[in-house]
Amino acid sequence: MKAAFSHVKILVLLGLFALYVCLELALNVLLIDMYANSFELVLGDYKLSAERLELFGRTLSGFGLALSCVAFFPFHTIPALTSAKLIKEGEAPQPHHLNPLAKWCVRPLSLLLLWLIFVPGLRLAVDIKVDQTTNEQKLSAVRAVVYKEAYLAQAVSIENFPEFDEIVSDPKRRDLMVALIPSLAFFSNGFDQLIANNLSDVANNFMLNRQEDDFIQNAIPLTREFDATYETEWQRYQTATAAYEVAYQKENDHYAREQERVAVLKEGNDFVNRVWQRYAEELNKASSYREEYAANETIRGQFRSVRDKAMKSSCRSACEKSYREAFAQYLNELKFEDGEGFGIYLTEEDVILNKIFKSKTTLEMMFSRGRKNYLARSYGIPEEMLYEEYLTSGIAQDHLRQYLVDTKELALPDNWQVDDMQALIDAIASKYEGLAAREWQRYLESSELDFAEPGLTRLQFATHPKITQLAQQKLGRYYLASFTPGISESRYKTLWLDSQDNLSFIRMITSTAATTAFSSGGSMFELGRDAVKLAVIPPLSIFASLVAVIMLFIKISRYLAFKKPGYMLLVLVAAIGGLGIPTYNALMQDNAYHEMTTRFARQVSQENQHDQAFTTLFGYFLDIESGLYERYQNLKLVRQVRNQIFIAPPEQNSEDVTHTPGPLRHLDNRLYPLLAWVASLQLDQDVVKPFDANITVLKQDLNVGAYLGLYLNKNTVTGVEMPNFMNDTDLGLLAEQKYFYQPEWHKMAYEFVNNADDHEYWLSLAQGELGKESLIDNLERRMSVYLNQKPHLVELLNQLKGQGVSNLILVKLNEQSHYRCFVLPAIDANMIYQSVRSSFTDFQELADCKVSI
Amino acid sequence: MVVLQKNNDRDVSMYFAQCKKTVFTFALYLLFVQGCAVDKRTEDYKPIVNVTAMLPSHASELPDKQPLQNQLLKRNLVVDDSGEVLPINGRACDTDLYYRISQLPLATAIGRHRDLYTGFYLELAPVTDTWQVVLTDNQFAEYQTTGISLSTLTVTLGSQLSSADKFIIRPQPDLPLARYQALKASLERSFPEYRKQWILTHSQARKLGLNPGDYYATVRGAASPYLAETLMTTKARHRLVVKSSPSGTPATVATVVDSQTLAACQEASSVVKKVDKQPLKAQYSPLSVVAVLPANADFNQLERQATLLPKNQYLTFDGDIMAYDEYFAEPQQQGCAKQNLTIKEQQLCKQRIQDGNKKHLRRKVIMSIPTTNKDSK
Repeated sequence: MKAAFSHVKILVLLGLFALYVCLELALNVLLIDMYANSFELVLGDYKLSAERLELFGRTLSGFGLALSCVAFFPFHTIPALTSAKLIKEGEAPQPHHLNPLAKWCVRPLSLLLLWLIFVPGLRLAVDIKVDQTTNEQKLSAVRAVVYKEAYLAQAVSIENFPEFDEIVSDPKRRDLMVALIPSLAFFSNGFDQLIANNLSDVANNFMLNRQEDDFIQNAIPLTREFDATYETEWQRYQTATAAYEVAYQKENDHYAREQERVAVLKEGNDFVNRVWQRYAEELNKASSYREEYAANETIRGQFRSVRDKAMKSSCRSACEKSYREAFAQYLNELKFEDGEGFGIYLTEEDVILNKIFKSKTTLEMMFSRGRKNYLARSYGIPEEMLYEEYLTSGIAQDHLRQYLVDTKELALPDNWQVDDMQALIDAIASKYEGLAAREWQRYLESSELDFAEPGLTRLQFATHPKITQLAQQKLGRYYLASFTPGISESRYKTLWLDSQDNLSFIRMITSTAATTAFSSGGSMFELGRDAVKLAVIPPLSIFASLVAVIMLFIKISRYLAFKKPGYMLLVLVAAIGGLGIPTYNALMQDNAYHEMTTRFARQVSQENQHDQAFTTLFGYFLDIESGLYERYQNLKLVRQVRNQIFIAPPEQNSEDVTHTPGPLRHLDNRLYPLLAWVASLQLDQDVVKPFDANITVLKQDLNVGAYLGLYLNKNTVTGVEMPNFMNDTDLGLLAEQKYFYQPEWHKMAYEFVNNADDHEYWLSLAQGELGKESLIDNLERRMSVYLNQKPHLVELLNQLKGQGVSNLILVKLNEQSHYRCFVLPAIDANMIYQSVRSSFTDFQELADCKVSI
Repeated sequence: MVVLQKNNDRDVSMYFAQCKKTVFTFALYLLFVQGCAVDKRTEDYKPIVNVTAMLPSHASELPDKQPLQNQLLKRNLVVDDSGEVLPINGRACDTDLYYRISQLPLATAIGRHRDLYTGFYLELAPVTDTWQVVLTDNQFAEYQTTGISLSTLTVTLGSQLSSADKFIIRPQPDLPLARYQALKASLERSFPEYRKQWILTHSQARKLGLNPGDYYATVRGAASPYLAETLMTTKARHRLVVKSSPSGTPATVATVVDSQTLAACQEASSVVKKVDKQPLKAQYSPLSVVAVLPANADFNQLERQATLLPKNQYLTFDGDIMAYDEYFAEPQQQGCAKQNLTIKEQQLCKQRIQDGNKKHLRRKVIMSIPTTNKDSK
C-alpha cells in the first residue's frame, strides 16, 4: 500500500514537474514571440499582453525559485521543526527528520510566503537595476533598440556577416534573433561601439530614404505637371509669335500700302467719271421722262381738278400759288405701288396751270422739267455745268470723297480734298493698324502666363522670370533656385536632397551629448528606462526560467536518484529526449548561432576578452534556446497558454479599455510599493522633479551641442539643470569640482548666521567648500539669469508649456546665434519606430523664431 | 347775301391781256426747255486726279536707280541718291529717328528727309567760348570737336529743314546757368520756328523756363539720366533717348543715328519684309539678290552678297557671315543652334529627361567594422 502510495506520489510529483517544465517552456516561447515585435508594439498595442506575460513569468519563476529555496533551505537545522522521535542518538538532523508541523505547515507556508515576496520582488529587482544603470548604459540600450528596429526592418546589415541578413529574412529563425539582439548589443561593448560608430550613417540613410520617397511621391508629379503646362504655354507662345510676325509684316508693309493708294485712287477716278456718264445719260432721257404717264387718268384727273380750281376767277395769285404748290408736292411725292418714287422734282414755279396746251402735253412738259431738276439735285451737278468744269469743281471732289469713305471704307475728314495725299495715306494705314496687337491680344486671352512681348527665343523663354514664378507656384516647397525647365529629374532630385536638413531624430537621441537627457528629470528619462528594460528583461527572464528548470531537475533527480532509479531513468530519458536532443541538433546545425557569434566576437571585440567570451556564450545560449523554441513553438499547451495571456490589442476607437486586473495583479500592485519603500530606505536616490521644458541645442553641423532642463514659473526661468555629459572625462571631473566663488554675500551671511553652531558648517568652511561652487552649478546659475534676459525664449517656453509641449530644439543657423526652432511634444519609443520606418515627420518647425541663446 | 361771281362776268380785255402774258411766258419757257437740251455725254473722259506712285521723299528718283528701287520697295527699303539703302519710312523703325550731326557735308538724304528723320540731334560744348557741335560718349566725359560752330550749322541746315523737324539738344552738363541761357537764346535766333527739346537736369530746365514737354525727364536707375545705358547702344544706334513711363520701365522715345540708319532699324525692329526660303541659283546680280536675302542681311553690301549667296552664305547687318539655310532652320530661330551653348542652355533647348522615379539611394546601410579589427576571413 505504501509502495503504491509512494508510486502515486512520485508520479504526481513527476506530473507536476512535467507541467512546470512545460509552462516554463511556454513562457520561453511566448517571451520570444512578444519581444520579437517592434518596440512600438511592445509598448503600445501589446502593452497589456506584455504586462500579463511578465506577470505570468514572474509568477512562474517566482514559484520555481521559491520552491528551490525552500527545497534547499536547511529547515532541519531549526530544532523546533524537527521531530525528536525520528532523530537517532548522536546523529545530525537530516531533512527527513522534520516533524509534521514543519512538513505540512512551515514548509508550505514559507513556500507561499517566499512566492508572494518573489513575485513583486523580481519586478523591484529589475526596476532597481534599471535605475542604477548609468546614462551611458541607457544610451547603449537606446542604440541597441534602434539597431533592433533597423534590423527588423531589414535596413541594416553588417559587413562580412551575411548570416545576420539570412537570419532576419528567414521567418523561422528571425523571431529569436530579433528578440535577443538588443541584449547582445547592450551587454557587448564591442557591438555597442560598432553600432555607435555607424549610427550616424544609419540615421542619415533613414532620413535620406524618407526624403527621397517623399520627393518621388510628391515632387515628381508636380514637376511633370509643370512640364506639361510649360510645353503647352511654349507652343502657344510660338504659334502666337508666328501669327504676330505675319500680322506685323502686313501692318508695316509700306510697299503694299503704296500699291493700295494707287489702286484706290485709280478706282476713284473711274468712279467719278462713271458718275458723270450716268448723269449725262439720264439727262439725255429727261425730255421724254415718263411721258406715258402723262396720259395716266389719275394724274390727269388730279391735274385737271387743280387747274380748274386754280383758274377760277375767284382765285387770285396767292390762291393760285397755293394750288401750284399743292400740285408740285403731289407730283414730287408720287409713288408707285412697289414704293418706287416717280423721280421728279418740281418747285411751284415749274407747275403750269393753264389751258394753253392740252393737259397731256402740259404734264409731259412738267415731267421733263421735274426730271431735270431731280437729276440736278440728286447728282449735285447744276444743269449748266460742263464736264471740264465738273472735273475741277468741288462737286467731283465730294463724289470722290464719298466713294472712298463709303465703298472703300477709308476714314477721311469731312472737308478732304484730293491734294491732301497724306490724309489718304494715313486713312489706308489705319485700316491695318493694330493687326499685330489684336493678334497678340488673342494670345493674351488664351494664355495663363501672358508674356508681354513676342519674339523670345526658346532660351529666353525658359529663363524668363514668369517661368520661374510658374515653377515656384507649382513646386511650392520643392522649389530650388537651381530648378530649370531643362534640368533632368534625377539631377534635380540630387540637388534637392542635398539642400535638405538632416535633422535626424535618431542622431539626436543617440549622440554622446544625449546622455544628459537620460538623467532623472530629463526629456529622455522614460525612454532610457524603457530601452534598458527591453534590452535586459527578455534574456534575464529566459535565463531565469532555464535556471529554475535546471534546479528543479536537479532537485528531482536527487530525490529520485537513490529511491527510485527506475523513475530516475525515466526522467533522464525524458530530459534527454525533450531537452537534450533538440539542443544538440541546434548546436550541430550548419548555421548554428555560436559559429557566427564566435567569429563576430573575434572581429568586433578584439580588445576585450570578457566581451568575446560573453558574445561567444551568447551564441551557445541562442542555439539552446533556438532548439527549444523551434521544437515547442507549436505545442498545444503553449497555444492554450498563449490564448489565456495574450489579449487582442485594443480597437482603434474602443473606449472600454479598462481591463479589470485579476487578483494576482491586485496583490502585485499592493505589495510592490511596500517593498519599494523598504528598498528606498537602503538606497540613495534623489527624486528629481520633472522639468517644465527641455531645450536641446544643435550645432550647425546638426550634432548635439547641449541639453538644458528648465524650471519655469510664469514668465521667468527659476532653475536650470545642465547635466554634465562629460561626466567620465577629466573635464567632467573638473566641472564637478568646486572652484568658483559664489559672490552672493548676503546669502553667505545668512548661512553663517543660521549655522554658526553647526560644526559641520565650520568643517566645510575650513575645507573650503562653502562659498564655492562647481563649474556646472555656476553655469546653471548664470544660465538662469541669462535665459531670463531673453524674453522671446521665455515667452515661447511658456507658450509651449501651456500647450503641453515640453521639448524645444534649437538649431544654430550661423555664427550670429540665429536659431531655427522645432518642437516635439514628447520623446517616446514610438518615434524610434517611425524614424526607422521612414515616416517620422514630427519635428514641427516654428516659423519666425526670434529665440536666441 | 353773297353773290358769287361767275366766270363769264370777267372783263374781256382783262382776259385777253392775261392770255397774252401767259402765251409769251410759255413761248419763252418752251424755248428754254426744248431749245436748250444739251447732250452732256462725252467721249473724252479724264481722271480727276493724276495718280502716280509716290516714292518717299528720301528715295532716289534718278532713272538709273529705278530698277533697284523697285526691287527694294518690295522689301520695305529704298535707295537714296548716293546709293545708300535706307528704310522706306522712319516710322517703321519702332521709335523716331534723329540724325546726329557729326561732320560736313551732311548725308545725301538730308533735305529730303521728311519721311525718314524726325529731326536732328546735337551734342554741344563750348569750345574757346563759342558753342560747337562735338562728338562725345554717353557720359559726356570727353569729347572731340567737329569744327561745326552754331553759325555754320545755321547756314548749312537752314535750307535743308522741313517744317516738322525737331531738335534734341544736349549741351555739356555741369556748366553755369548763364551759358545755357546764352545757348538757348542763340538757338532761338537761328531756328526760331522749330520745336526744340533739351537734355538737362530738372532744376536746370526749370531755371531756363522750359515746359515739361521740352526736356527729357530723369529716368531712375539709368547711369546717365536721360540716355539709355551704353550697353544698349551700338555702332549704329549712337544714343537712345529714354523717358520714364507709367509702368516703371523706361520707354525709348528717340534713336539717334547717322551713318548706319538701316542697320539701326534692323536692330530695333523687323523693318525688312520677310521672305520665304528660296532655292539658290548659281549666280546672282546685286539686283536679283534683293528678293532672296534674309531679313537680317546687310543690304548696303549687295555686291558682296551676290558673291556669297551662291555659296549658301550671306552677310548679316552685324557683319557676321552666316549660312543661308540655317537662318530658316528652326533651332536657329530659337537661339539653340549657337556654337557655344553651355550645358544648361543645351538642356533648355530640349525637353526634360524624366528619370526621377527610380530610387537611387540604397535602402540598406552596411555597417562597417573598423579596418584594424578585420581579419582576413
